Amino acid sequence: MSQLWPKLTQRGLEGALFRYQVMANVVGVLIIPLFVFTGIKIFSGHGKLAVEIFGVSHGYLYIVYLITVGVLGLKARLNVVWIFLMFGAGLIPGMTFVVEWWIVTRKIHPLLAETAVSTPMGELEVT
Amino acid sequence: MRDRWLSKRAVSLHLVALVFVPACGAAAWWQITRASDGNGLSYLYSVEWPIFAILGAYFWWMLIHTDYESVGLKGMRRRSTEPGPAPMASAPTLPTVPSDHPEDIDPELAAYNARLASLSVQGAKTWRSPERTVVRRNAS
Repeated sequence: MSQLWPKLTQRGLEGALFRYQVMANVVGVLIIPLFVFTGIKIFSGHGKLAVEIFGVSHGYLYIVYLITVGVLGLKARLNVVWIFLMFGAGLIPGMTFVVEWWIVTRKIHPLLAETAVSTPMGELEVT
Repeated sequence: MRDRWLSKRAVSLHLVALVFVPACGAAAWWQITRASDGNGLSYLYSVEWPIFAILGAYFWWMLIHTDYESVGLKGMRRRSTEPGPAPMASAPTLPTVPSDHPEDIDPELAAYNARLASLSVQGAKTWRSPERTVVRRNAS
């Protein structure tokens, strides 16, 4: 039962990283108007449609974001704490940008540097 | 097996899953009651919370079963400090078909033989190790 899943290859990690970064930015951008319009709706009673539009789009894209976070976290074997941090960041305005920057520079880039050494391009590679 | 299910990390994951999944169920029920009161946005959230519960259960299972010790940053550093057989270092080398006349090797037959050899090297196929294919990239 020591089978290694998901496989960790440079290309796979780069793909998972790209999908995570796209979703982190999409979700991070969408949650800002959601919070703004929710505040407006609470204080003035207007903007019900805007809250529903951004609520629905953020709601469904957040599910996609969770999946990309999980795939990247499992592929890169990130500590569970960081995975939970990335999950939660999609619910707090501005946090996805901070957490994404921190995870990518501190956790993923060192790992990519080492996978590039252990599975160099052009070698036989088990995917 | 004991390590997988009863290590400190695994037990804390069990606890998180045990809290998270019923909480999602309760939140789903709460949103369903709100949606039936006429809150439009709650229709979305009453779909979303069950999905969160499913995702939570799935990631709990995957986090228990993913091998953190031998792959990834930690595993790579551990492997580089302690010498030994490197499990992910390279694909199994495929035995070549011996022939006195290399030009009349049927490429299809050779590929088939190589495929058989790689399958026999890989061992049994399980639900956790789906059939792997050997891909040669950047052959030039």
